[in-house]
Amino acid sequence: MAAPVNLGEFEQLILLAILRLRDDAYGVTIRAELADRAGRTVAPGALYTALDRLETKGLIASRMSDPTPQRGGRAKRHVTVTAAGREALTRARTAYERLLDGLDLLGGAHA
Amino acid sequence: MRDRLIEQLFSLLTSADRAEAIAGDLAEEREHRGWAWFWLHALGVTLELWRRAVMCAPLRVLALTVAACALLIAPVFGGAVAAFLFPQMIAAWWLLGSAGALFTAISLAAVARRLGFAASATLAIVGVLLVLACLIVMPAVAAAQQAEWKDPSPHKTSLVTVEDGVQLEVLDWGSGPAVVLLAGLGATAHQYDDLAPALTARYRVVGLTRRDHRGSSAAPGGYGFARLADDVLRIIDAVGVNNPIVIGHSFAGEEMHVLGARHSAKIRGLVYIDAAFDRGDDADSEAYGAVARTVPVAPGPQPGDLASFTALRVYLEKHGGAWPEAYMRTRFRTNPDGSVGGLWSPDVSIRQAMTKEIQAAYKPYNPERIRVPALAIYAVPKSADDLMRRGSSDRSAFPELVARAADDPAIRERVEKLYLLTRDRVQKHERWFEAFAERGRVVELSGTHDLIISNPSEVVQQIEAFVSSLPERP
Repeated sequence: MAAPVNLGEFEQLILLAILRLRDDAYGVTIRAELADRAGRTVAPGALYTALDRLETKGLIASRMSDPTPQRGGRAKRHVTVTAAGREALTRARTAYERLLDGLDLLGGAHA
Repeated sequence: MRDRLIEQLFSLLTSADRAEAIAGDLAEEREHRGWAWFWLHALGVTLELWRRAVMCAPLRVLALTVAACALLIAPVFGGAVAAFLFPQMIAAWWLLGSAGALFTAISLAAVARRLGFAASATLAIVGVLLVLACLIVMPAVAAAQQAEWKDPSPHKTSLVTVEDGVQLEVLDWGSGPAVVLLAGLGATAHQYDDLAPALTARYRVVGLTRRDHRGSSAAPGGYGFARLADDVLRIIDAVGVNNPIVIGHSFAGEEMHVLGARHSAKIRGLVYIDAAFDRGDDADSEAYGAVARTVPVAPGPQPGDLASFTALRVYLEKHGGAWPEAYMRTRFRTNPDGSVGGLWSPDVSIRQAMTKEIQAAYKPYNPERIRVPALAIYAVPKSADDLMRRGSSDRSAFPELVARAADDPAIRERVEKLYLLTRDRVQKHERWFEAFAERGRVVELSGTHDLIISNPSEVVQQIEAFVSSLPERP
């Protein structure tokens, strides 16, 4: 990858959810994971454009599953995080932690 | 089916497998979230995909958007235009308009995905041509189907110049002693098309259409009663009718007053058909109006009654009498499909000038006394039943009201009251006329203001009796 990709907060959450879901990450489960773990209700429309964007940037890869009898026989589009995706996540986290360093946000809130 | 539709919709905006996956996800979640959620988010996804597609492929999305708008708007727009212009053909128009729009939309959508912008544009043009075909070809077909209509009344028609640039339409029937027919305000000589033939056995009948009325010139002014009377004299001279009896309806009374007062040497007599009113005295209008408003009126023509002039005549026959078709064709506009359109009227500026001059002539209202023999026929009911069955000068006939009044004493009482007021009113005008016309006589007929059509044979009879009562002139 030529230039490092910077991630928005929403994109980070989606990538993390995909990682947690391992082999079972697709539209429905990603939204459910975001709701359960992060308390974020995400509209389907917003999620699909974000996934499209991530795929265009090469941070995730997708493949169509075999059609299932549920969902009117429609296939799922499973997504996985690519190496570039993991790298971008790590970089975002590092930047975040460096910025946090020396700050006592929780303590400050209770002071 | 619905999932398939949604998937197709998505596939217009994104790849086929993405569309399938998204449609599948929505279907899966619908299981526990319900249909409302499903449709709401199907719409949300569509908008998001559309937004993204605009940024990726603006031309394609432009084509799709035009297609979607055509699909949604064209049938509605086409239907509205058709309903306005051609009320008889709404269904055909709507179908054609929709078919054109649907074709445009589907072609655009299909081709935009495969062939790109140039092909989409070509198909868009085809679609637009289809819609234009609806708008242009169909009326032409309708007009061609409309059989050409001819005025059946056996008159010769000519235009006579009464003033520089002002020509009036003159209808000329028969030969013998002369009768000149004047129409009411807004009306044309053709209002006598059916009555005139009953007079032509004995008289030469000439009808004329006042200035600014359909068939005659639109003049920028000249609505003073003296000027209007001059127009009549010019016609009398131009067509060579000697010493005519002038017969006029309604507003024509004003011209006749001038003719009878100032040009008595040229006029043998006057017949006022519900046309001799003391226009300066409206003291009783308020009391009359207060009662009149409480008495039900006959229902006006329904859309079906306006489907053609024939249909309108059938309706009018049931409500007191029908005008000759030629007259109605001058009074109303004809839609391209042959149905009856709105009232014809001259340009606004002319209408305003007319109104202004007429109002000025009525205030104060003091016509000079007429000096020729005159007959004033008034439309007066002879009983309350007559008022309902046959109408009056102010009301059209409403025979159905008789049964309602029989069942409802309150209605009956109001009709009786209105009848008495109507009589008083007309009698007041009759007394005024008798004082105003030294050689005048009054006759009452039970009918509507349009006695020409509600009581044609009685009107002819009265005219003949009046003419035979006149002294012979050398």
